[in-house]
Amino acid sequence: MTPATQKIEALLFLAGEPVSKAELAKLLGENKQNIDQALQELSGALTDHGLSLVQTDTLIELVTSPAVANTLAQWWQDEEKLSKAAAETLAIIAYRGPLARYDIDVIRGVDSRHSLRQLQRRGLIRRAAGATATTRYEITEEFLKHLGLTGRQQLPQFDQLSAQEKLPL
Amino acid sequence: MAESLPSIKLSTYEGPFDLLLELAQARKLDLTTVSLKEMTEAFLEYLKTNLIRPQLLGDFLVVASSLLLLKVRHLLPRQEASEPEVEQLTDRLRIYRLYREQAEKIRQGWGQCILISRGVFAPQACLPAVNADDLAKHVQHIIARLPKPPQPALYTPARGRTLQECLRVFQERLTQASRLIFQKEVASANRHTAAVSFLAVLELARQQHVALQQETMCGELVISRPL
Repeated sequence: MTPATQKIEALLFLAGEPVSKAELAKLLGENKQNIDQALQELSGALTDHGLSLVQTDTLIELVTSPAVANTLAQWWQDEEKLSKAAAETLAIIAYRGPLARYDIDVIRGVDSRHSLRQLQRRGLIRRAAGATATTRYEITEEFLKHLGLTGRQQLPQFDQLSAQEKLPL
Repeated sequence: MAESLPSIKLSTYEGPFDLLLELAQARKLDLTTVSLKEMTEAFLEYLKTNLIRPQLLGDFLVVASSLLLLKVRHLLPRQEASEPEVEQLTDRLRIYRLYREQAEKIRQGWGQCILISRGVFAPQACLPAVNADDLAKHVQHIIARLPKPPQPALYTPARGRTLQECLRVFQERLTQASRLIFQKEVASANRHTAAVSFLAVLELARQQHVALQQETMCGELVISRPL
């Protein structure tokens, strides 16, 4: 493992919560490319480990791995289920995010305001950073963690369903 | 023989698209313009016998009107340009179906395999031996040390006229004069009283106790006793 990767591993452990790549770059005095490379190395090194990296577009977090989830379930369970409306909204944001409420409404055929508020309250979505006039929503690491995924790309048929243009209708 | 009302159930569908997909599935129909026309009756029937949540009603009605438009165009010769929203309905339904499928998978798999971060409070963490009385004592202690909140000053807002009072005033004035000009009556009143007076005048007109006349826009409003 390169020194940079080791430091990142330690920092993520210390943080115990999602950290942004930009933050890591600043703390370690490295550029974005090196950070990305180090993260890839770390991810690879953690294969078959009890820990894994969960990543959204902006943040990374060191968490327990899917392999041990079953065992840990006896100490940690989240009873709160997802409603149909919540799941629909989440699915759309997970595959096509970050996107604005209007775009979600067009797909669902209903006003999603209520669902969006609930999902934000539960920490499963958040407002995407960036200089756009309208608020756009993206999924959070919490969302991925609840599904046992370490990245959006692991969602079934991610490539086909995330494409903006051609959808398999 | 008393007619019984149709039984109204609370709708469990998340929206009009949800309903359409269910209808299509139940009848083993594809999502095409043709089958949408066939489902229009059932869709409208559903709206009649089910209580739709008010927040969703608008969305249901939009889809209902799109379906009706499809049916109507089928019957009438096509002369106007087609409405893109209606044409796109089948596409939109298909897109919605794709994500609805994934949503169901997400729902099923939710919480089945949870990844946990370090910050989580483990239920078996060690706490110092503290009992409830100790905690209560400490909390009292903290409360006693908090600065006292400032007493709110007594503030009574200036009281304006009530609607009843204004009604009485105008009715009395009308016994003294057969014709009043609203702007003159409220010339010396403050904004609140003027607004309430206006409401009173409208109410009197509604009850046909007075007749109102106004020659020009925002001109003098003449209040008179009806003939």
